[in-house]
Amino acid sequence: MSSRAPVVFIVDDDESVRDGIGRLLGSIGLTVEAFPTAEAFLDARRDDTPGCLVLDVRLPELGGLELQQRLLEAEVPRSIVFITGHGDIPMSVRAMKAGAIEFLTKPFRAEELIRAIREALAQDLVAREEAERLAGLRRRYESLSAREREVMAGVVAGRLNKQIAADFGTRETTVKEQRAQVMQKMQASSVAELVRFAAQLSEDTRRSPSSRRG
Amino acid sequence: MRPVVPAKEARLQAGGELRGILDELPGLVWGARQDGSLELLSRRWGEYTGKADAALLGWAWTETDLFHLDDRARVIETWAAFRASGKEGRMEARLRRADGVYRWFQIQAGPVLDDHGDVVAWWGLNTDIDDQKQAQAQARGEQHLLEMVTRGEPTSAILEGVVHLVERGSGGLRASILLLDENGRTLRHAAALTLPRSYTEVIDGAPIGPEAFSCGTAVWRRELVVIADIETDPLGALFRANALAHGLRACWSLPMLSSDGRVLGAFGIYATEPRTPSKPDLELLERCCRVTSIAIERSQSEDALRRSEAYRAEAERLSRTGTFSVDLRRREFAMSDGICEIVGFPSKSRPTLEQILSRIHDDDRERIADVVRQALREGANFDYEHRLVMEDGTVKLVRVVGRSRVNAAGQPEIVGAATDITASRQAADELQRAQAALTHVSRVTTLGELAASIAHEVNQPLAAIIADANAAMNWLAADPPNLARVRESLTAIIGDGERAGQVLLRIRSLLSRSPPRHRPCCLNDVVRKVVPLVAPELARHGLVVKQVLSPDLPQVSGDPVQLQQVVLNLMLNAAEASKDMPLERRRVVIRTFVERRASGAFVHVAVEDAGAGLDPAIDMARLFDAFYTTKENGLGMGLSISRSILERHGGKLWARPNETFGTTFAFALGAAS
Repeated sequence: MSSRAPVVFIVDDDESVRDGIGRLLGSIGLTVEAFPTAEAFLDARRDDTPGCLVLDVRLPELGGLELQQRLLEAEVPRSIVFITGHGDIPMSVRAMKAGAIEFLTKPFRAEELIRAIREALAQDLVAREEAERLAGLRRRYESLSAREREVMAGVVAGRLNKQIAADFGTRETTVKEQRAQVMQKMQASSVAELVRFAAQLSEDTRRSPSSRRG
Repeated sequence: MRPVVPAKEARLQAGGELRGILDELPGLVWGARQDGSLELLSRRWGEYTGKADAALLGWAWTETDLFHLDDRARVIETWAAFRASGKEGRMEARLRRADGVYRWFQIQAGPVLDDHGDVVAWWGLNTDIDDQKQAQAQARGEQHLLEMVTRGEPTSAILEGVVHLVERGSGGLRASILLLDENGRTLRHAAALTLPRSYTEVIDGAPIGPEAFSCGTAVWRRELVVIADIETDPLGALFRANALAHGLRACWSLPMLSSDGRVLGAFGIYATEPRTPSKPDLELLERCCRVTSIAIERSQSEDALRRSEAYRAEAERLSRTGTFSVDLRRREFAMSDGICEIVGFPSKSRPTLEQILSRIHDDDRERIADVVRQALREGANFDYEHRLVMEDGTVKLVRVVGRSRVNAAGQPEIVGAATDITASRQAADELQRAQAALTHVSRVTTLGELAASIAHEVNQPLAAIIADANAAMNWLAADPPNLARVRESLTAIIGDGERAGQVLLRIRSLLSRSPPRHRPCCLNDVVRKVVPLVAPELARHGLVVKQVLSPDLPQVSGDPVQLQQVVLNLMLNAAEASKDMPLERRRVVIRTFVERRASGAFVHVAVEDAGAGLDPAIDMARLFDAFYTTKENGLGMGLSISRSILERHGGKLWARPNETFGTTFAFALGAAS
């Protein structure tokens, strides 16, 4: 789990809106970084920084909805609060379906924005914790030797030590030692927990086989 | 010469050598006794009458049909009168020929006196004067017809007169006149007397062609066509059954030509027996054709004259125009009815020049006098508008165009036309008002389309204001309150509030219906006011607006609101043209610059896009027409209105394709001096 403070990123081409929201969020102790365009935000490469995005729908060049789409495609999920001067229902439906926290039409009440931002930050926190936990699990799994991973697979499949030893043509005591190694390296307190870890790992692998967030 | 011979001797001589001479004389020679009974007839009597001498000698002739029934009593009376007078005399009467035809003869009778001067016998000579008589009658008839033509009697009466003349002169023939229809392809029945209606109805509308009975063929060939026997001649096929049913067996037709060679129609002659026309028949036909042609041509040209006169009157009425001439030295005044109408006098009344001039509005009188004086002095044309005050006090606006000239009598005169332009001026004013309303509607419509982006523009500062106000509240609530941050937010709030106010001001000035007011204005300011209005709309399509404004732009004279409208239209046009382009072509550049020419400085505003461009063949010509649009949702009013605004400003609006992509729309106005 990251110890860094979350940042609220604001992308709006209207300077006074950008600055006004910045001052509002600053007044409640939030850290703010503002960008006039979607491109400027992408160029800043703040993917790893926890926080959320307050995003204007209408932007010159790359629009708010397109930015949301790009982030999804790049698998850098970001909790987004959309703000717009002129929103319509299809636009908001599209944004919400793509996972936006809220779709606010200017002028919005400050409480609405703040509530949405807090929700977004909480969602980001949960997501980041979960991602970090999974990353730790993966690191632990990757520390296993090849034989240990085979033993783990056998244990998770519910086979007895004797059966696993027969599978590998080794002695039962050797399997028992390896099994203890697995439990220790994986920081599993029980076979049930190991099974759960294995399920989470396989789910994570299935969802994103190649790239993952560090 | 009076033969003075003994009666006995004369009779003797007549029986011998003299008789031989008498028989050779042309004409019918006769001798009568003292009592008037015929005792001698020359040989030709038998040939002419087909009667034996015995049927005529003595008083036998009075018992026969020798003389026409209508003439017989008169002949007997006149003959008695001759004898009573004992002097030579002449009379005319019709004698029956062997074939039954009566012919006119001049009968000349003279007494044979004895030594004592007493009448012992009578001699006589009957001369055939029928042809002469016919010709005279014909000539009289033709003369009469021509008089009818001259008198302008109805064409139908004249044509019937011609038919009558032909039928009377030809004995037993029947005539018909067909006239060329206006379509030039058929002949219409125009006149007939003895031909039955059931027949003329059939030939009415007869076609013209190479095999179209005698009349249609005659017009086709432009020459005489003779159908000697309708039953057998192939040309007769068209109306054969009908003609035969009416007992018509022969027909010949002569085309009637106008003096300039146009075919007017055809003259048709029918006979009840198969036959060809005799020479006299043809001569008669030709003469009648000539008369008819004259009558028709005359009536046509008179019709045309009447028509053109009627057209002129109609045209004057429709255009509310009247024509007039004034002979200034003689104070003679002539005018068309249209003037009465305009000046408000009853039609056909003849108001005097003074009466007419009295209707001119007091304030215009002096000006008109000046114009007329100048026109007279310089022999020039004049063209002015002035007001007329009607009897009921209503005011009319009249435009008078004319010129002064020297008339045929060598007098200076003024000729001209006056047009009542009250209604058309009102219509023009209406039109101008309608156009202004339309401009307004279009402006409102455009703004309706822009409502979203305007709302966007107002909502931006509002959102910022709310955020800042909350921030300020938060900093005030902090312990201790952070007044520096509060001030920062409040300053921003003031700025945003002013910004929102300005947006609304701009909208209000665009929507206001204030009449155009020209005043010095800077086109840079015009552009600067419009760009923020349209920029959000353009941004929505990912369009970037670039302003390249010349820093030292002279002012122009104009209505800034209307000029804003033009810039707005051009910007939206550019946006429309480029919204579907690839990203790098979604840009609009708006430039201002000065062009200095010998005639003065011109300020240009050019809006350049890299959009779809114009189809040079189709669009350029119609680009500025009202309702011409290539946009799916456009009304096509934008450019039309823009151009009329520019025209009212004495400026010019044009479009030209760019070298690479898209189009540049530009306008130029002369710099205010």
